[in-house]
Amino acid sequence: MIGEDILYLSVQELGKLLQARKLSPVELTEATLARLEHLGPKLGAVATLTRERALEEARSAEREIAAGKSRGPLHGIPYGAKDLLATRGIPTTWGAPAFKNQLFDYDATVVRKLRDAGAILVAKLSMIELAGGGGYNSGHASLQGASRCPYNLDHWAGGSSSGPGAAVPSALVAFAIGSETFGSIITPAAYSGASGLRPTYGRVSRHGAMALSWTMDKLGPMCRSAIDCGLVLNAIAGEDPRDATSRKEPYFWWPPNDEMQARSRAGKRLGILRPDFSTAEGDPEVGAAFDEAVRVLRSLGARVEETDLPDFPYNPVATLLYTGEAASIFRPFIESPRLDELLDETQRAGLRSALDLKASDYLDAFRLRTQIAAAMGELFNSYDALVAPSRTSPAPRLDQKFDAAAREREKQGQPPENRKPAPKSQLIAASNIAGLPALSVPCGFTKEKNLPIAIQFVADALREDVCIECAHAFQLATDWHKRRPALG
Amino acid sequence: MTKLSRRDFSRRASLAAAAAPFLLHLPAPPQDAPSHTDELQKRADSQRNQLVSAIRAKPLPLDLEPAFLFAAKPREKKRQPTKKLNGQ
Repeated sequence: MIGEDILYLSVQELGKLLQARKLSPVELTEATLARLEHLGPKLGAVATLTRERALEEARSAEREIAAGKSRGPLHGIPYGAKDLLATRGIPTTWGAPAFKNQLFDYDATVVRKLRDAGAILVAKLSMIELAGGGGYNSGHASLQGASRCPYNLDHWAGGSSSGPGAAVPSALVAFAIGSETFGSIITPAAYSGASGLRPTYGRVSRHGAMALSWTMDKLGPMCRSAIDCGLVLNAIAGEDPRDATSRKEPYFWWPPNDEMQARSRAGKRLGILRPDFSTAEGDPEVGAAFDEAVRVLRSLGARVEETDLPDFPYNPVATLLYTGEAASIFRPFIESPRLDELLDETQRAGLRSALDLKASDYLDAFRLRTQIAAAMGELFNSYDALVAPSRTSPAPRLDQKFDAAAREREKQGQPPENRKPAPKSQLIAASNIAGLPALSVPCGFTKEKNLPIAIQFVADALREDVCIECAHAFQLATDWHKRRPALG
Repeated sequence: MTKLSRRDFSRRASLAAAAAPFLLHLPAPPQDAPSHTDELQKRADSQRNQLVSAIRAKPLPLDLEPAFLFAAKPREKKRQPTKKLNGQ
């Protein structure tokens, strides 16, 4: 019988056991399916279990490995896919009631590539409806209900890749595929304690993924370690004739041979973006954990220097870009009565409003994008990576709307807080606008509520290797990513 | 379709009639009050306008082009079908 200790192994460790035939892909898949059935509902992580397909793929992996054929480090490893990836004959709901019976007759390229690499699809994982393209006000905005932070079930798992966030740190799957337009991998990785890699725009084909924003959508791995993210990215990266934006540059990251080599790759120039935690911009506990993480990076040989981002309206640019594109993509849906089937009223209003965005304003945002991409590129003349807290506060409670504090101020007759966030607090927006890669890993937990805190590494375009190597070295020196949630 | 006897039909009808008052008192599915929906819409529009203002506040040089590249591409050439030669 396969126990929790096996299910919590990394992709790399599982792969070694499978290749050595010390572990059976069928037994591993059956144990994973049992855990998904047992804990999936508690965590709100699962949209659809793909039992039949999983067992068929597992039997095939078992036969091939027994015959001495290896498809690489993912061969026989169970994984989950965010429910916006098309999977042949299995519902793909996009997290929205209006699409709950949607079926595709093909697999998304990323799913096909993982099948070719021998990975086993065990579940479609839950997500915020339509990836939250209209803006949403609660973690409950999903056909599958709220996904919960595995370390504290009263708190949200983050979104919009909520199911992957909840499932990975609780070992419901060995890894998952999420998507990010504007924070949807980094945020659930941070709130749930996963390691999440958002690749460079175009690095991974988007064919078969729900389009929210043609110019900002990215697909990437969510795992329990940075090194696993690197291994999964090896399998899913690459040009695809079915996605005109996919990059031609070949990608392969060689994992370090040993700890010494890994540590030797840590001596990088890091630009630190530290928000002012003495203001309302963040939680002081996050600030303390971040400072300690920077100290660890310095002790590993990194050359660390505080820096800032150039002054641009990053959040407005990112939001106008993706909402403008979402309005065009979903116009027939937004103009139909089916819009009312969306669970989140804020998202309904946001999508209606997006239809009235002027083309000239959308294009101005795109022109600012030119300047932002150039300015971000300049920073990488001085630094190998930018480092910041992934989120400046831990996961919010699920029984409160996101705008609860603002509404409370309103009720008390206080003026709305119109404080513009400092540029250095807008790294998620800045790096998504510029299409840069980022990796978020846990760097602590809050004392009272046991909520994960995370640090992100952002590198120049096509330099996922830099993000992975910084984060991997950090994880060699810390064990935050190895903590297991108490789920019973 | 199952055939109902007259007796079964009258029994089911009386049960349904007895249940009707309770059914009538079931709460209606939650609907947003129009004023609340209007309020949300106003808020969404106002947020969009704030974002637009932030963009418009940034002066843009006349020669600054958007960060996308439109590339004109020649029509894909169709492959000529290969001719089968007799006797080869």
